[in-house]
Amino acid sequence: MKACDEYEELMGDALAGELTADAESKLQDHLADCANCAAELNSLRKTLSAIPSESIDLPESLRPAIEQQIRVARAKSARVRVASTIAAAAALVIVAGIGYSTSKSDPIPQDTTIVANTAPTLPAAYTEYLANEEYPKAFIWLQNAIEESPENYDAPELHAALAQLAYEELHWYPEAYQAYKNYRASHPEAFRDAGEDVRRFTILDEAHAIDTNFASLHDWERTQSEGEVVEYAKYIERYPGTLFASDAVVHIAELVAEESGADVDFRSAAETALARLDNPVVVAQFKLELGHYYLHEGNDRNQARRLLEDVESSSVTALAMAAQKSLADLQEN
Amino acid sequence: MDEPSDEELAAAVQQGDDHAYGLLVERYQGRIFAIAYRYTGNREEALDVTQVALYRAYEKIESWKPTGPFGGWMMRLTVNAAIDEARRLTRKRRLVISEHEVEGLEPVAKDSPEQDLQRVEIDQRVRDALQILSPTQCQVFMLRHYDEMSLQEIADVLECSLGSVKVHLFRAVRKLRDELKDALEELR
Repeated sequence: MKACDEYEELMGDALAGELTADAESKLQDHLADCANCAAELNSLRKTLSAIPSESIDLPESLRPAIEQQIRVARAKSARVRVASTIAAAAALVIVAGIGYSTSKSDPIPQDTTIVANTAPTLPAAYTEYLANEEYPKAFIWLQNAIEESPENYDAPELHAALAQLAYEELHWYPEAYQAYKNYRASHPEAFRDAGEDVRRFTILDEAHAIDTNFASLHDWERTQSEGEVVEYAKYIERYPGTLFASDAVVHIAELVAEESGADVDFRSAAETALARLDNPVVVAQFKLELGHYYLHEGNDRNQARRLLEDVESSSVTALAMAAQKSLADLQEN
Repeated sequence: MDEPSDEELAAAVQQGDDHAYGLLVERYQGRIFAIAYRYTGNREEALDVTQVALYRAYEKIESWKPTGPFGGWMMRLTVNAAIDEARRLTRKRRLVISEHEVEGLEPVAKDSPEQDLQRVEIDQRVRDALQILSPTQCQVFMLRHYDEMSLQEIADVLECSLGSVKVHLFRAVRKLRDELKDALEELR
């Protein structure tokens, strides 16, 4: 049995219990003549009543956790700002999303169609693929749509959706990298304001500079799935000075904090972890992160200077250069 | 002293006042958690999902325009983020189960010892059924059934017409009915 299409809206209203008197009268007149709709509405009401809707209480406030997350993110974003001006090491280039000059070997579509700044209507085919979790099909569909019908689909939100799909759901890093480059080329202002997308692009760009197969990102996935201090430490040792190496410091600090069972902040946890580490590369990365923390959050310039000077004398070029830059900033300010 | 409005707090966050965001978290976390819990069926996951959603809203708060109500923007962003994250966790959980070829094992919410098996099974079936809704249908259904928003409020949150919300709700319940039909008959 199927309800009459033209009464779907009224039936939706009925299910919500928000029919006006006139609307109720109109619907009742129809139901008196249409057994299908009457049966359908009755069936849907039973379904709703069978689906539990009792409220569930929040077991604990998330405010402390989110405030901590914000503090850590601020410390890390300071790291990205510093890292973005480090001169290229032999195989390691970390750049910001703005003002990056592309290589001529990476062709980027130069479509400059201006689209009105309204959220585009997502096509049914695309949303259906997403609803069914057929992400490869969704990706290919959207990629073709943007390339073949720019007049309809060249909106920053769709470029972002394509890149995010490749990055988050599919882990197709070469495709994600290209999609972000296209997004930035075609909508530079929108891209610049899209904080998380800029971060992802920076991560991809950094990883591509290390290895065009994005091995460091696949290694990060494996490290995250293990979720252990020793794995995060190995990651830092392999890819020091990268954004994910910074993240690895945070993860190690979190794991150490969890072990202690106490509600400690990043600084305490990181210092506890530092005391246990002996690998010189990992120690240097930790000192760099703590140095930035003291500089930007902890308001202790002397402690920041001491830590950064230690890292500056490290044998790990990327870390030494990052520390050098931070010290120069410290000097100027 | 009157408490600051959501809009005042949001404007403060945009000016760099992170403490103001903590106050907003306290105002919205309960509602988001209730929705996330209905999706995941697991308190720990629901907490994770809620935290991800609330943090994402913080990251994107610069995009809120003070000309509009903050509540609608916040619910739209956080419910969307919560559903995305909950779906991701659910897929991951299923992938682990399928990789270990554990047949017939379904994640079942066991947070309350008082829940009888029948109720637990219905909850699990509903969670599975929610996966087949489109993102908009899922948002409309969750906001109406679990958050008890009016249809007009939902339309404001999702920035679509009231008529669309009604149709989305109708179609969402119809899909859920079709998915749950057998389960509800078995459990009668």
